[in-house]
Amino acid sequence: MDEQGREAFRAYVAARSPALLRTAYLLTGSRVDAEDLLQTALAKTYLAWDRIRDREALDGYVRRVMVNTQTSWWRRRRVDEYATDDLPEPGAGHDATDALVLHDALWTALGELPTRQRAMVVLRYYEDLSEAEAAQVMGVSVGTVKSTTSRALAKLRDTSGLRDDPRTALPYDGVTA
Amino acid sequence: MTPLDDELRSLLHSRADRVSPAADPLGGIERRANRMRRNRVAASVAGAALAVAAVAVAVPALLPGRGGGASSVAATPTPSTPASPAAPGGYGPNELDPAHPWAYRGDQAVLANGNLDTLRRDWDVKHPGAVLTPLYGQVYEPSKRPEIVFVSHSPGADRWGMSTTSESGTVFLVDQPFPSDSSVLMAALSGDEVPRLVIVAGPATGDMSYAVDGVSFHTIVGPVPGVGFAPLQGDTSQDAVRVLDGNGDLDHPVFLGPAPDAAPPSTASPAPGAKPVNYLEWQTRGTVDARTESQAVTAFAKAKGTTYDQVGHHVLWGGTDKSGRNLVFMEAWTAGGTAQTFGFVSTGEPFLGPVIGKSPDVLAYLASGAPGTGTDVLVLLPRLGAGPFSYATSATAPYREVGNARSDLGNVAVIDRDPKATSDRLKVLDGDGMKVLYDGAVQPLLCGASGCG
Repeated sequence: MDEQGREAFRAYVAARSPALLRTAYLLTGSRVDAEDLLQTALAKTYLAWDRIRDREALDGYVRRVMVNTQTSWWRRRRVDEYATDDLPEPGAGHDATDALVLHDALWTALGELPTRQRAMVVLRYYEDLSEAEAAQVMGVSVGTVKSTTSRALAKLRDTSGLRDDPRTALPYDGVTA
Repeated sequence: MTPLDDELRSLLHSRADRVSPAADPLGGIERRANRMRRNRVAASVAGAALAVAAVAVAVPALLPGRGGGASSVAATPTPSTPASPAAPGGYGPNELDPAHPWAYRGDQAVLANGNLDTLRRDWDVKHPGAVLTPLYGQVYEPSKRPEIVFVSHSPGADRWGMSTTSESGTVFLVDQPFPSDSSVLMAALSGDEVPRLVIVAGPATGDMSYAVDGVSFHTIVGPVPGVGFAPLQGDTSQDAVRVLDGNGDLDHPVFLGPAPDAAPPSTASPAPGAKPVNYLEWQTRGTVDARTESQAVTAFAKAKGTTYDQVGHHVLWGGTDKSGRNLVFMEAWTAGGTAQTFGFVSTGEPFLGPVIGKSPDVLAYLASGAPGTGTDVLVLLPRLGAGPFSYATSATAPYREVGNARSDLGNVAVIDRDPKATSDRLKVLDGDGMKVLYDGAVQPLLCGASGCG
């Protein structure tokens, strides 16, 4: 990479790393892991910088590297996503305290999602990507985005004990664009 | 927009907003990038240097008149370096960039008739989102089946592989991470006759040779430039591969290093293809398509925290439920492990079942029901040779016969089960309908590694 490319990369990191770190945090659920994930993703981007022709699509490229890297780490760390002996207690009321309880339960449930489902939720509900954009980042079809998101939402309702909460009532396939 | 959408957005933004920017992210990134680059080049050089060291020790033992004939060439003890060291962030002329791979070399007919589309679809099941590009294809004469070598690009997760076909669909002979030395792809294949080594290098490379003793290199005459196959026979513990550039520069080979092992060393874990001690020799019942089977194996690998190629499996039953969802019930294991039951449904959570006991009379698998059905799906699979089997919805409900395993291979019971059922029962009789093989609760049959279904 020449000096001009290095400067462009530095400018990109300075402008985008705070936002990308937030996404990394939502993907990992841990500040430390998020920094590690983002640094790895940006280091890979740095090495590939000269080959990335469409600089407008950089965010998408970095997001994709983060999702793939996170999936790869998840496999190596041998996390068993199916072992869920202790479920959080569901929130029952509708006041401010219960809203916090609801958020805590949702956050816990989010952490128990399989990596790709979690990534899909982050891309769709935090990054506000359309189904087509999320499909591009994840490298899957739009249909897979719909089904993965649907499964993630269903699991969030089930594992967070929110199935009966009127605030989260939703048809099983009620994924909105 | 739904309430859950709103709650999720609110939650994600509030949690993300708590994250403050990292201090000096740039310094850490550049340090890590440089480390990655160094590791990559070091791995490349180390592999070659290791082989050269072995060569340097062996060369004094070579006396004139001994060793290879006209086509053998004693390797030079000159330290090997890559002909074209990777430029920072780039690839040399004889290196493979997974994002911009070499052009396809080989039989175009192998890719035709939807073969490439099928391969890409099946690969996508194993590695979602990866972009597969074929590098070489041929029909392997002994088996008369097509073989395709390919590279797979996915940011941060590049791989390469080799596929063939069988009656049940695509079979991946090789599925490996992209090597740190991207000048050559190599793997040992079991082969239909003898084990063989496949080597794929750049199209502009020259002489490709193999030395079973790591010293006496014999040229491999490949089907096309940069592609070669070598039989693996005898003691291959010292074997080596060398690829020269188009000018035949012996001092700076494109690649010089050990060949991959033809068989795992004795200390390695048994291959997943080896049957575990508790392997159940039950004939496959029903039907299962290759895609669903592959998805099931992928799900099992994920549940066990391993990779697809480290999983062995045997389908016990495949079929559909009333909602048309594909169900697969199989025994599966990881290399060196014991077989356990595993259930997979095309839209739902996988079922990680118990370790298979000695000569079970019946196996069971519970799948979450299709959306809107309000019931789960219970699959009951008595052993072959068993007779009538019956199901009762509770401890006090009467039994009703749901199948007879004796005469019909496909006669497996698929039952709509109340999700709250805890005391439902199952009775299985022997082939004569006289002796009770199992009479008890369903629940113990469902207890697996993650608890009871």
